[in-house]
Amino acid sequence: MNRSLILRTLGLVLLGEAGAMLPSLGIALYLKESAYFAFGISILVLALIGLILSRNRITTNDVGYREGFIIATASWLLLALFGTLPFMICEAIPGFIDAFFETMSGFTTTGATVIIDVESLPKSILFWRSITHWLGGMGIIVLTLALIPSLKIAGMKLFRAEVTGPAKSKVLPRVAQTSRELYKVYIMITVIEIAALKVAGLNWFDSFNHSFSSVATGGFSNYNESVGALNNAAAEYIIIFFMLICGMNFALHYHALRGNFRPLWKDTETRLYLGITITAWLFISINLMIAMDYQTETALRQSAFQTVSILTTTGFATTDYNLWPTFSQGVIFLLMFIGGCAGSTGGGIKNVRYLILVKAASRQISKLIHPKAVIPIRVGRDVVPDELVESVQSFFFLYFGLLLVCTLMITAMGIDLLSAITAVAATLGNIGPGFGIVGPASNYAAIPPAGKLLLTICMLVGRLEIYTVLVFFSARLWRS
Amino acid sequence: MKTTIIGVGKIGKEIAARLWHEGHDLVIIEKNEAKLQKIEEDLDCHCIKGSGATAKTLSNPIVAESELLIAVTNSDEVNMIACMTAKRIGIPRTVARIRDPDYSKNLIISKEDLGIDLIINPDYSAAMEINRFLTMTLPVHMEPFARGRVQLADITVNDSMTIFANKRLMNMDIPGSLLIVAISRNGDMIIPGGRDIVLPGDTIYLLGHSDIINKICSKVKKKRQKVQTVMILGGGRTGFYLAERLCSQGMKVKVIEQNNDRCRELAEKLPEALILCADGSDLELLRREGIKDTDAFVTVTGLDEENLLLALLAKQMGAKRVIAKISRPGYAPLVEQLGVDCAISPRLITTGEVLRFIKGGRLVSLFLLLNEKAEVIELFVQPRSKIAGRPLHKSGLPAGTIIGTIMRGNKVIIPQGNDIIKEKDRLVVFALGHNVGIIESMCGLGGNGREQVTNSTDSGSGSTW
Repeated sequence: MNRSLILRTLGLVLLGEAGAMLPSLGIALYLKESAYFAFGISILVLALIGLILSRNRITTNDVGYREGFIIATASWLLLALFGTLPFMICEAIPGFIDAFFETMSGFTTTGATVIIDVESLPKSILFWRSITHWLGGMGIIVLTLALIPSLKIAGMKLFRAEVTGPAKSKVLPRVAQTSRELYKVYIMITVIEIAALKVAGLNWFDSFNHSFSSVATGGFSNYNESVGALNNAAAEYIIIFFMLICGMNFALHYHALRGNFRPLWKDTETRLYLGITITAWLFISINLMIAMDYQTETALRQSAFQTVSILTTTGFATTDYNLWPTFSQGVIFLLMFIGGCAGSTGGGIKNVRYLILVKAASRQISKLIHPKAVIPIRVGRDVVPDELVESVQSFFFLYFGLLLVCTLMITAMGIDLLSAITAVAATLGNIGPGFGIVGPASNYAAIPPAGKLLLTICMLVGRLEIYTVLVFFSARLWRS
Repeated sequence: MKTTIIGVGKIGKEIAARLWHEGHDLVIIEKNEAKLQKIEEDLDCHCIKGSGATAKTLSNPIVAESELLIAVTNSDEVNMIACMTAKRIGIPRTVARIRDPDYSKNLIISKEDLGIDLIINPDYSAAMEINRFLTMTLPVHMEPFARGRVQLADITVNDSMTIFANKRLMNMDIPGSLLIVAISRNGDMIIPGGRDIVLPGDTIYLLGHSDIINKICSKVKKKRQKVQTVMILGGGRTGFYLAERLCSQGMKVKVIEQNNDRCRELAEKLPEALILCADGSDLELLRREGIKDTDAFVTVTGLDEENLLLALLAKQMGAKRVIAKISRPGYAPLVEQLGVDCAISPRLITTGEVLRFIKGGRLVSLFLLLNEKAEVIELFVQPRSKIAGRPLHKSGLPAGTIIGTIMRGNKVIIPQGNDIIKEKDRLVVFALGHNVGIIESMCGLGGNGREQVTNSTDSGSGSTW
């Protein structure tokens, strides 16, 4: 085990987190909020620990997947732990478990909150929540890789541990270059959205917060009623568009921004994703128009917003879908288990995994008819190696296994079944709101502390796509 | 003509023998001592031991003086480099065998860039020939001549064909503009006269205007059903090319291949075909995969004997049409007698392609009929030649020769005995192999007259690309 490399990387990650708190500190100072004290202390603590850890000399560059898994999981745990400091010090969220839940929800871009009255919090704290989203969206390790080229060798192993989707691809030969290009795309999309929202009539603070939240497919809003509170149809359309864009593979956006739209247009996963979006959107719109007498524009806009928000695992809301007809609720419920595309900022199971699973199932059927047939599984024109197919199949099993076990544990705490299962689905899939008592109009404050802790772990497991975390907690990793 | 051949494998030998008979002066370059000695014993040629891709070998004056270089070693790369080098040295024309499909699909480097004039790919040619056989709507081979206005068709006569069976040619009730130009009987080739009788079991070759040929063919046999399902045994190169081609036409293709790794490769490259990893002699498998309802069963493994036996077996099990790849041309007539619908010999097809290319300067198109015993050639009548200006029956053509068509400007004439051949006519001539030279000289093409004809527009019509 290459301990010095692990510690140094973790130190650098913490230094990065200290840096990420600086804008909030600036806002606190500018607005003369008392939270400046909380940020000041947090930054000092993080910088101190970060510096000590990063002074570890890397003795060998010998790294394997083991180090990759450890760094990924440990970074995320430490980030969430230290990220609670501002919340706790300024007493915005006094309890540790609540603060841990909130921070993890931020970094994993879940967007589930335990704060009952968001609007009463200091602006610097709200901004910090949005920053956690933005960093967690593309990935904190990807950022570290982009900024610190000395980690070059551990690169691919770390990259693999954090980037979403079953198969990871690089757009450039080096991981550091790839990370940098992906972040450039990410920043560009963010900047465009901020400008668009500003033009649509939002103030700068709202534009920043909602942009960070939607490009990361997070879901934190600085209003209790989420995006609905803005009461701005144009802003809703803009947010729908950017959520949709960020649920797609960023490697494809990279090519598109360089003028090559073919990969994006030809991509099978993107087509499936858009197909699902449009189908769900139309189903809900028609259902709303018939059952709830909505006006056409309202029905189309509200159903589009909710559909995209849940499918991309953002979790914004402009209306409470708990009040929708059952069929629409059913559609939303199903969307919770699909998620965005591989290589996006979205969470969930991902479209490509479904593609592979369906193909694997259909191969099984063909194999029964033609036992001797050799049938490769394809996504588009590319052949998926059998190993990957197996990994996707067991991913699916683990995902639903965890879902059921955690649901059982939550129901043991006295939560009703629908709320329990959607709470787990919404945290495991990094979505945010569920149904029932965790619906879009309410929050997770009503869940008992043990339940919050469990859901916090679900968020991390979901963000790092199960394997990374399970490996971290597997005894085999630590045995040398 | 001086010709250099690099590599004397099966194809190399076949081409060498054929060219030697045609009167080429051969230089053979070969690495393998044993093969070189064997060819030196068989043919009177100059042999050089060495690698054909090196400038050292190729700049040998006897090689550098060649007018044609044919590179047919086992390695595509060696063949390409040999042709590139040869072009630099100044050998005007080059032929290379390139078998890797990825090379032949290369659009960035064209064959001109490589200095290759003709690329031959026996596996590909064989696959295309099989494809042609499978996609023909009539039960006959059709070969267009004279820019497509005249066609040659072959029909195998049986008892029920009362127009042809057991009749003398002169008594047949067929339009005057339809000629029976050749009869194939038990592997022999007859260029018939009016008194010859057509027997059941003969294959007759009919020549005529395209529409008349179509009419007579559809009268003789019902139009065949379109081939929908094809089973290919053997996933080698030929099998791959064929499957790819058939899939692109929307047919249902099953490929049976024994080697597991090759199966995977095929499955990746052929998304539409069903690849079965199994032994072709596994009859239970063939039955389960529906050989009874298969429109065509094609055997293209590396072994002639296996191809033949399994094709016959498939026929017995109910496959509607069976095609076998038979590399040894000698087997071919026997195979078709046994009941295999079509025997394809890649070597023969390729040799034909090379000959067509070489003769491209004087003959607009040429192809070999039935195992090189008879040829169909298309040629121009040169000014002041012997044949011009006389009626056909007085022209003194050797027996076993038929002038099938005269093209004069835009007119197409199926000639009778009284027709007169004029200068600059284009003729389609049927002749037994040994007569070809005589006819050519009668038309003024022999010896030094060779370079006079500049028309070589469609010499590449049968090339692989």
